[in-house]
Amino acid sequence: MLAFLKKRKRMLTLFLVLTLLLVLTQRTVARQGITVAEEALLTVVAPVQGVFGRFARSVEGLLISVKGYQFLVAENRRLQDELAATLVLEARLTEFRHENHRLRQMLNFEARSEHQLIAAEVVARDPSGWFQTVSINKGSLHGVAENLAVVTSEGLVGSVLAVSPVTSQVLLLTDSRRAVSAMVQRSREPGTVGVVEANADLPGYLRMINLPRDANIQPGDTIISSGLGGIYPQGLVLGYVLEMVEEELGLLRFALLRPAANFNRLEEVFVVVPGAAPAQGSEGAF
Amino acid sequence: MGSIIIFLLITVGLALQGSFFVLISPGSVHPDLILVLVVALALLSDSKRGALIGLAAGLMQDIVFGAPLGFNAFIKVLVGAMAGFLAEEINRDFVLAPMLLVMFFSSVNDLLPFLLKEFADIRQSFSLLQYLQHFSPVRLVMHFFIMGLIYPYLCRAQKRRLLFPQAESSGK
Repeated sequence: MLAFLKKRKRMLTLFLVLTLLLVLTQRTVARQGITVAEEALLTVVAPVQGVFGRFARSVEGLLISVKGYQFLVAENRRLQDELAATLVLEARLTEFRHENHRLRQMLNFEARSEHQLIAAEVVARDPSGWFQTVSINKGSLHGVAENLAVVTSEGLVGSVLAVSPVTSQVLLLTDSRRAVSAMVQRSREPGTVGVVEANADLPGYLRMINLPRDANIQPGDTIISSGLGGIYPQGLVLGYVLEMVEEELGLLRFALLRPAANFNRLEEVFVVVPGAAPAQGSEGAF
Repeated sequence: MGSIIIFLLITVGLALQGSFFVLISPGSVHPDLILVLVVALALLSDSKRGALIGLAAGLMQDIVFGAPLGFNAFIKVLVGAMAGFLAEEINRDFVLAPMLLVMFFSSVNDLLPFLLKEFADIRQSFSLLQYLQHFSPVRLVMHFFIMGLIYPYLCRAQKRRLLFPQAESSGK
């Protein structure tokens, strides 16, 4: 027996290692947080990723500029017009904000808590296609913590999965490990936004499940976070309803959603720190 | 010295894989540079070293990209060990053999995650067929050419005993 084991020592070791890794995988699926060793590795790799990412983006930018010079000139003109219009709008918005504040004070309303936004750059992305995560260049030193929501100007992107001092990993909404409690902005129907169903024709799409047959929801509706899960603040735009589909048994329906954020082109994101006062610099508030 | 070079290779591979290749890849299909490195290094050493490199590279990949710990490590250990078993069977100076072998291991690398996700009870975003249709063919070609680019350099480094000082410098 001993001779047999000695003969196949290498195979047995390999088998043992593989078994251990299998068990490890199963036990760490729902894991939050990282160990000191992982933190150290992320701290080493993140700056290198940042350098390569920035280099790739400048190459890409250069190629786009060369290819579409005429288009860029036209777009520049259009953006300048839009900026001028936005400045007018901003002035009006400031007026409304002041008016709102004044009216709230008159009515003794509690001021709604503002969220601090930490601007971050996406430095890396899991290229395998099996998991949907990105790495950002802000970590615990900048105020990022686990489970904080991550947004773009278009809508909700995901939440912080793990944090190291200078970098964090963000689990995207399109990852099958993520689900968000959500509702229809127009009708306020509660429900859950799950993950993309296996659909090669529509990769990266979301679906809102557990909707009763008579749910007041229709194509074009905006879906927002309900704030019930405790992770995501209420009112973040998740996506827009494309179509309603009946579940297999016909008791419930689900809505196919087009995500508000473009997950294929994530470059700059904001980490939402709920209830924190707005800070200076690159950070803002909403 | 060899371990440091391999660690640096894997670190740069991970950094490139998560940033540069993600931005410039066609149709959201990205090469797995770590797989190519593990196969190349295993073919230049043996199954034991191949499995060890696979373990280290896979664990680093899990940590850096936020996959469940052990997910990529399992695949890379298996690939590293299998490639290492074949190390003695190929002519290490002949670059076409590693280029063809990496295509085989690329298929293994695309097939195993599906089974692992089923085992770990992680909801699948794609069916296996959809994944293989969308990602695998392009990735096979990418890995074939990347291996052709990097293998000669690694082979030359090994001839100077920079990677595995105690291993034989050439196979059959």
